[in-house]
Amino acid sequence: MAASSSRRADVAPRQLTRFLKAVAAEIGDEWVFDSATDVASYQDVFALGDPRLHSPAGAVAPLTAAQVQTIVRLANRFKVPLWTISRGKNFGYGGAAPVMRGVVILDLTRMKRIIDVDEKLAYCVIEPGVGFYDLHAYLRANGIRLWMSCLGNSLGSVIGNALEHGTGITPYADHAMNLCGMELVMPDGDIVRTGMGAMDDNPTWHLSRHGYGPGWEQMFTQSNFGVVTRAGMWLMPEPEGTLSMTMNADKPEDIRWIVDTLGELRTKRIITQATTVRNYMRWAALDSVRSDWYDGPGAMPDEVIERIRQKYGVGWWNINFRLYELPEVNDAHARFIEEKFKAVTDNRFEISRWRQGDPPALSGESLPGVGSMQMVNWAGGRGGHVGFSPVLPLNGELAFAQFDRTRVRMKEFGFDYYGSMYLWERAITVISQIFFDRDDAQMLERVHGLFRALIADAAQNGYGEYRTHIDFMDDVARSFAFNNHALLRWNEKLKDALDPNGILSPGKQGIWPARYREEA
Amino acid sequence: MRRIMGGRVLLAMLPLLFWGVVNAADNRVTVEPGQAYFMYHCETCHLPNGTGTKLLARRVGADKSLLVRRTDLVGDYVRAVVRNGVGGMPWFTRVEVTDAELEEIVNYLTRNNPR
Ligand SMILES: Cc1cc2nc3c(=O)[nH]c(=O)nc-3n(C[C@H](O)[C@H](O)[C@H](O)COP(=O)(O)OP(=O)(O)OC[C@H]3O[C@@H](n4cnc5c(N)ncnc54)[C@H](O)[C@@H]3O)c2cc1C
Ligand code: HEC
Repeated sequence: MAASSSRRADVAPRQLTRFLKAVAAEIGDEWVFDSATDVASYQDVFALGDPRLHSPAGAVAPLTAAQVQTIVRLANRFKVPLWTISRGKNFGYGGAAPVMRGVVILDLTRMKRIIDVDEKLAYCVIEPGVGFYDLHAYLRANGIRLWMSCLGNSLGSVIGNALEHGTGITPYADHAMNLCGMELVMPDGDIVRTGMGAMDDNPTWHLSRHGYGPGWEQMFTQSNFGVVTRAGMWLMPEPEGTLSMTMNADKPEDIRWIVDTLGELRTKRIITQATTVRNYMRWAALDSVRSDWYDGPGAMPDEVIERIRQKYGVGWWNINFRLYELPEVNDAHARFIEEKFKAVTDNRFEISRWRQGDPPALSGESLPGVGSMQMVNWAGGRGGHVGFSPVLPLNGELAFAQFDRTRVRMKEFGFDYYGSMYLWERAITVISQIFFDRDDAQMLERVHGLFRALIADAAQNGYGEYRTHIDFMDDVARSFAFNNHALLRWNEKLKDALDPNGILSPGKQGIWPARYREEA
Repeated sequence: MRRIMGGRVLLAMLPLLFWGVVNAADNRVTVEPGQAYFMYHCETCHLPNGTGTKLLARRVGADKSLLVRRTDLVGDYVRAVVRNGVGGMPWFTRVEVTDAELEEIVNYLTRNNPR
């Protein structure tokens, strides 16, 4: 199978021009783009090689769902494939860029309506162009006491991120699970509302996860089966109090007891947030660049790591999480958690508390920010990063083994190990960040080699990634191999039935329409 | 239920930190259009301690790291940076920052240049 980046949309220039003209007549000239600069502006900000391999041919930016319908119908008529983005800030996974070059970007950035916010039932109904900053500003400006779940890079879209299975670090951190009730433009241009929304004016559209009949919503996440034009998102009511617990651990092996002890507390829902455990690299990369510490080739040696830990006063691993809601309950839970940890370590938690009436800055509310963007510059030059994120059982021994395999591989390919783990209730996502210099071709080669080795190592142990960069969508799809790739074959069967012209996001998550599949 | 209809979620809800100019006469804070667009699109990285400010401190020195205080930014340079990115700064499409908005931002960032 060829690398996904070698495929190209088979659209003749004349056909493309006719399509863009037809779209311009419907949505206005100023929202149709095909100049060289505009095309380049949709390339991958952190491209892992020549960005032109994922270059679109143009972009169109509708304002309404009706305009999306029109564009999708015209795309069918002129056989021009599209690539949907909400805000296209999918940095580390391809940004706004498509898997297949030559497609037209369907850019929903202008669809910025916040349609409803219901404070009592704690949800909002928004369009895909609404960014984390937009929603937060709206909640603040209107004094609405609902909390969001934001990201290290909050430039993106609340819906786009959720559709990509994005994550935060609050009790609402599994963003795709907060989606409730969607409106979609289907590949044939029809408009569909899911769940209870399939009934006219049903007020439970965004309140009940189940409608009548099969539930379709998750099938439109990480997929190319439809274009989401609005969705309900559940938000977190502002809690009565929070309690923050922090602990460091000294040795790489400590991840075993950390994961097992925290894991039990997650499964029991004593800790309700997605709990993160991170290594020292986070602090170094947020504050400095590699050459501040070490200029040699290969991964940083242990004495440099020691200096980093000294300077920032951090452990090899660093645990931080919060308990939410009633202060008395938080205190009781904190005591229980401390007892659990006393059984496995002499380290103790640092604890701080917030309750209603205390300064809001201490509450631990997840606010939009871009602080993590700083880390991307670690390797020097024009920085970039890509994350490798397999999902494992919530088990300390297995997490240690995965971490250790990854660390050895990264060293072998000459990269510093940056690890963070997200503990869910029964699974753990073991994320390793690879930082690179975008202009160092030799380093980019090593990134590709490392990434493919990591996919293979994980698959050999039975694990797959939760999300991946556009360069690796086929590789990861192939690692899901049960019964001769039955799930991929099923997805492609569905794709062909829903989207016979292969219009929507060809190659997304390795799902190719028949029209482009032959080349595979 | 609260609604806002159509259009951009913009000037009505300016972000957290504020570069507004306080008018001494009536104590009202005024925001130029260019400033508002800068706050909306750029400020999160170009505040003190923002990732833009930090990296600029490395490259052009601390005294020039805060864009809103600069007196030497050339319009064409700002345009090129916003459309093509620079170093660790990602670029912006013309959908996200329209040409008209960019012109306002350029006016704002060059307002204190010696003429
Ligand atoms: C330093 C750094 C830190 C980061 N931290 C985090 C983090 O903490 N958590 C996290 O999750 N991510 C993180 N990211 C990754 C990424 O930046 C965010 O996930 C970002 O929100 C994704 O961009 P977006 O929201 O604009 O989504 P988009 O790029 O608009 O969408 C993502 C994908 O979803 C699909 N899609 C989007 N909209 C639609 C639609 N309307 N209909 C159908 N399909 C659609 C498309 O396939 C698209 O490619 C980080 C990146 C960096 C560089
Ligand atoms: C995601 C963070 C981010 C955002 C948002 C951002 N910038 Fe930047 N900006 C940076 C970084 C980082 C640098 C420094 C890059 C370097 O030198 O490596 C920078 C540098 C610049 C420079 C170069 C200054 C010089 O002296 O070379 C200009 C001009 C600039 N930004 C303008 C803007 C404008 C205008 C906007 C909004 C439209 C904006 N930036 C939005 C991160 C950002």
